[in-house]
Amino acid sequence: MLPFASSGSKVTPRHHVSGYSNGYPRGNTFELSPHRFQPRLNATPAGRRRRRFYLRLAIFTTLGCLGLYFLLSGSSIWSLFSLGLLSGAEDIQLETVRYYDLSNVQGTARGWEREERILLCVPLRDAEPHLPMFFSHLRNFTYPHHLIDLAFLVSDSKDRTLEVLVENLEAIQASENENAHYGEISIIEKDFGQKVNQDVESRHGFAAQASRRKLMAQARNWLLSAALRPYHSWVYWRDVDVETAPFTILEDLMRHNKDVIVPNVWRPLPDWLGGEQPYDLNSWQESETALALADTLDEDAVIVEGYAEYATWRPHLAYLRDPYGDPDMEMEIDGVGGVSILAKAKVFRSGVHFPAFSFQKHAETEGFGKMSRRMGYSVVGLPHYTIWHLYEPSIDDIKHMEEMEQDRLRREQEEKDKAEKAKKIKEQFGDANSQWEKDKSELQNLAAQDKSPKGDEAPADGSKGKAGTEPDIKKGAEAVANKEAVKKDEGAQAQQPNKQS
Amino acid sequence: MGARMGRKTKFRLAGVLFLIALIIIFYNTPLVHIWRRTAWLGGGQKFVIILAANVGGGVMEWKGAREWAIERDSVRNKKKYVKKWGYDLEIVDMSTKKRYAHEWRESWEKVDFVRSTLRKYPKAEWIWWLDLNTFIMEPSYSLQSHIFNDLNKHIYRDITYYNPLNISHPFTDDYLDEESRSPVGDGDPDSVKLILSQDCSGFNLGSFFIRRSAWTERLLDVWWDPVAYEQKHMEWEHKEQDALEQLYTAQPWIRKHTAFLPQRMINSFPTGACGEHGNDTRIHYNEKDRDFLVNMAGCEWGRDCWGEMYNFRELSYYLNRNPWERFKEDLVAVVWEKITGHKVKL
Repeated sequence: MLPFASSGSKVTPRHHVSGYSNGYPRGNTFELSPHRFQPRLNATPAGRRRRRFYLRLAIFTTLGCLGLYFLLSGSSIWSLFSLGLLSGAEDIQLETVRYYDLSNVQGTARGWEREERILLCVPLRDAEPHLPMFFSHLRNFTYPHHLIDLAFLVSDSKDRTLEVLVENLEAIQASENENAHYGEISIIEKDFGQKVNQDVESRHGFAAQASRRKLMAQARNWLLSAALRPYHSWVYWRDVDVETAPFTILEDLMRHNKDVIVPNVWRPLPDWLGGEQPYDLNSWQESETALALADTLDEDAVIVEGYAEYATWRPHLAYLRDPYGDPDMEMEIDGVGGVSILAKAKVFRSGVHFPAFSFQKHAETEGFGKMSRRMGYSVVGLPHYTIWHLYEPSIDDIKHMEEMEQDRLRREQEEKDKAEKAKKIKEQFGDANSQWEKDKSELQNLAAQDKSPKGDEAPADGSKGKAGTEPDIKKGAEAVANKEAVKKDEGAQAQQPNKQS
Repeated sequence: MGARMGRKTKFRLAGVLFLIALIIIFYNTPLVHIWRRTAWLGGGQKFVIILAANVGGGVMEWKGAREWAIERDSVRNKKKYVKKWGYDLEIVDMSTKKRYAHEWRESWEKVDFVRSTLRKYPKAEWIWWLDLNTFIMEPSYSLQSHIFNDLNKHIYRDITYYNPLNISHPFTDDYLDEESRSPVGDGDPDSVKLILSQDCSGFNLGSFFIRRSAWTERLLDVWWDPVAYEQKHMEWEHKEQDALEQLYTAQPWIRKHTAFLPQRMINSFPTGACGEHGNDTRIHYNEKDRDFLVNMAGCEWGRDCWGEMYNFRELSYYLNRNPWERFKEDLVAVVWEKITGHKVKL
């Protein structure tokens, strides 16, 4: 109740006479908000008790909730008080539990900006002579090296492949330039009992193809399954015997953002064989004819490309190269060659592999291409983007080259002999020329002298000729002027009879 | 300002503006293209060009820089032509396939592609087949103005007019009807369903027209079928061309719907082809007459396809330069060369 509100009055006073609504008398009190109604709280003991009850209720509820939370979440309450230093470490950061989100490593067109890791797989067999070349390529890659993990499979090698490999790797990883260092490197040794020799003739012979390719496929699968980690976005397969390739090949292939992509592979040839030649015939488009052929074959048979035994009528990536064409041109293909394959890791994760059996009548990389297509992945070749495989001469080539070398030597010898002969002749008979000319001019002089008494006009000509020739002869025997003079002389001689007659 | 401008000036200004508007409409809007394309206006939709590209296709042989260059040029030439006149272009893949190869032949590629194209373009009336080694020298000729507006004037149906194969014409058998025994069929240009040209050694299918009709369907059926010509395709050198010759010789119903165009209307040869007896005015290209199309037939047998293609491309450009190109090349470049002594390409 307000103190001054008169019960009978209908007019409420606009201003309180004696003070503000807070009940304090009006005076020189200073308040920031003096006009607010502030009821006196808990004035009564009952109000105070009620307030205390509410407070306790709130505290208990909070504690109860917290307790329930820690109970349910399973962590120790002590971590609350020790700020997590004393407890909890052993069950949160277990060494053997890793968490990966594979959606982060799908592989994109600009992997180098998103720091996508590449696994570079290299199968090796008796590859010692090629290793230095391979490592020079490795040093030159422009893709950030720390994002590339290397995996080597050394199998059935009889030479020092492993030792040379390790030496080279150590050299790279110990180099002063930090940017040259690669990520994780795995070397895997495993023998498959490959019986086919690694020289060109046996490697590319028709009979050896099927079994050889099946073993190669096994090797690739061993290598990949051992080396592929969950953080890899891409897998790049590369042969050691690539001679020339762009440094930017990883980015160039990645930019197309295809699941499986291969460049065109050619090889240089010596000039007498035409200069260059398509090399990798395993990248092709499927044809109806080859499908029909596949139907007629035995279940375990493997069609291998580029041999007369199987006429497949397939368009080959290697045959479609335009040196002046657009290097970004794409071509859908079904089989891929293994010289240089860039594939997204998800392709392998989803179960595509290099079949070591006859998958749709194909094995290894060609089977891999077909399987990728079957799984709905894009498989693409770049007809105008070329890398160059090493030229290894076949036995016939070597024979031919030896013959050519002998030919060349013989020809050189002949030329040398000829030159020597000419030199000798020159030395022995070299002076004869000038001697002969001297003699000739003297003879002419004599002749002129003989003639002079006979004719009236002749002596003038003769003396002219004499005047022209004599000083020249003195100068040098081989001078051109000399010859000209002689010609003049002869001309004079030729003229003389006319004049006389 | 308006007040000060005379009535005459206003008219002149309006005229200039109108002219500019016309130029913009003509060059910068698709209006002209749409006009030329529409079936009942320009009639471009009635024509489809089939270009046989990707010959070989990297199956048996390499397709190298030259083959790619030829293909690029040829395709660009036809694309430009088609865009200009509102036709359709169907580029077909002629890569080597076993089923088209001689020994295993199931069909002729041309037949298959003509069929599928007729199905793909339901509005097309005429199909123009072009080999890859052809070049349209005069893109300013439309097919309508060049041939089809006055078909009867250009074609000849009596093969005795030019008959390198010595086919006896017309048929004289008593059991044939009047039309089949007539040298010119029924004489009505609407009954012409197949138009081709003859070179020095007979029919040439590097450039021919075929019209949508029931007759065409039947021809394609028969043409396709080896029984109709007694499996002779193994002996023949020119495949479907010889087959058609055989059909023309033997079948009156085919002959009465076939017409020929003088070769230089649609299929001029360079001097290298059919050139054993020197230059023939019926066969060989002549730039003064501005022949429509050059077919470098047989250039893959010992001639330089890319060289010929390049020459004709440059010649076509030279003959059809616009005034600006003439100005800069014939005047500016020449003057510049006189002054500096260096040749320039503008």
